[in-house]
Amino acid sequence: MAFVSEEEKTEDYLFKIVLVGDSAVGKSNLLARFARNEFYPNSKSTIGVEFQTQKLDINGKEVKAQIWDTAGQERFRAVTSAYYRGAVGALLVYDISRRQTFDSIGRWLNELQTHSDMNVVTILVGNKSDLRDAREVSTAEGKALAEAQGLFFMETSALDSSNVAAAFQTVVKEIYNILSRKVMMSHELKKQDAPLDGKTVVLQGDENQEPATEAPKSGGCC
Amino acid sequence: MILGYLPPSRDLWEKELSENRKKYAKLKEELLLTPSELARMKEEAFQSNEHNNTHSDTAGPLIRHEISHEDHPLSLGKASVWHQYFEHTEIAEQIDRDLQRTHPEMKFFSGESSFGRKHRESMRNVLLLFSKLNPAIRYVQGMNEVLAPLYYVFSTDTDEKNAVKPQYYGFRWITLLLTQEFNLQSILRIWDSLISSPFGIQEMLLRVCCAMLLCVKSRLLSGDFAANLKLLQHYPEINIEHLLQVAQDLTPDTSYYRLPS
Repeated sequence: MAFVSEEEKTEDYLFKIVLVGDSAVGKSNLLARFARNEFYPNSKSTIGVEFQTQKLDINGKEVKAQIWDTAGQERFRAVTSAYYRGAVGALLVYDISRRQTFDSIGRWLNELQTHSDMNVVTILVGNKSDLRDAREVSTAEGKALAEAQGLFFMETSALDSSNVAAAFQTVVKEIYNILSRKVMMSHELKKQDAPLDGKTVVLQGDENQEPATEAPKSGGCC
Repeated sequence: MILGYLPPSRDLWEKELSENRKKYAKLKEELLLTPSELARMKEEAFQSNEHNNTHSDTAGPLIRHEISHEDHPLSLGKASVWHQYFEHTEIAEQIDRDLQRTHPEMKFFSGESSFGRKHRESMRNVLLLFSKLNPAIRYVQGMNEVLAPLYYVFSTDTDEKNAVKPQYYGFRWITLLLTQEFNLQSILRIWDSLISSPFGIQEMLLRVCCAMLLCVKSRLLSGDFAANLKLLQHYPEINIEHLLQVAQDLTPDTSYYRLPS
């Protein structure tokens, strides 16, 4: 029945992504580089949270990333955890020239798992890759940790822009793929089976709507 | 409450609201789907019934739609679902044209931003449903204008998820005594006021924060979540004397609690 075509829906996707990691590893500058192509050598420390939106093109679809840049200092943890709610992606950032920031990654992972309400697509980011002479954490170490924890991995430099956009895109693309698979699966299920009430994946462009209500990584649930 | 939208007892509000929202979603589903979507839903429901009753295997070949001659899309009969659907499309187009010129000066209603489009779509659904539920009246031009103030108030009042929580901006304002929000000259002027205020530093600080919200009130009311959060995290340059005057003149609303006698 091709007479009336299905209404072409211009749903836009909105993903909430958080930037976490120790103080002064370059979270705010990664965001400044990615969203505005700017870099501030002496940017102020982030107090509480800062917010940016950025549009990305994924497979010809417009996807909006709502990026929350959080404070790195330990003392702020009590408040920053409140900002993780509804996040579907995370950039877990350390500074390759300060080992201590790499050692904290485990704690940040814990933090994410405790305070976000679903599995978060996470990329481990070794920032400041331009500081070759001051390197304290090797690429291999970063990669190994990422593999052990099931995370994506990339080394970036907000200063010379290398891999910055790629790191954000990796996360957004993976979320998009997981979501697309879910939608397809739910359509399949619907066709074969009784309509599953309450199990539909909502994909509306509603500003603050959480894109998925279920864990994106839990492939074959239901 | 005066409109009869909410019952007099506050305790019943939440229940009433959620029931009404369910009713609305159901109506939307029943009345705004295209006939092919409707047919598919019926088929699914049929299959599920069959599934439940006889446990028959539904994985067989697709069942051909039973389409009566009446309900064929090219049928000209007045009672055909498609005829009704096309009529509905005509009304929808009229509504869309009118919504394009409903308060076009306000971002809330206009433009190609996602929330502008979203608001127009919601209003279109409201007007379409009204026309379907009141077939004798249908859609009359001007209803869009009557709906606009109601929709505006309800959608800005009740959208909990879109709440720009004070933790997102006020945390920094208060903990840093506003030092990241203004340039140094302005900070010095504000601090003079804080330190010398007869209200005390803390209360004056909260007053200034409230005044900051009041001074951008109209922008906040017309902005969406992202725009509002950006605005409050990057507070615009304003006349500091005016801001402080507003803070000074604030009168706390004490009608809610009784002062100890």
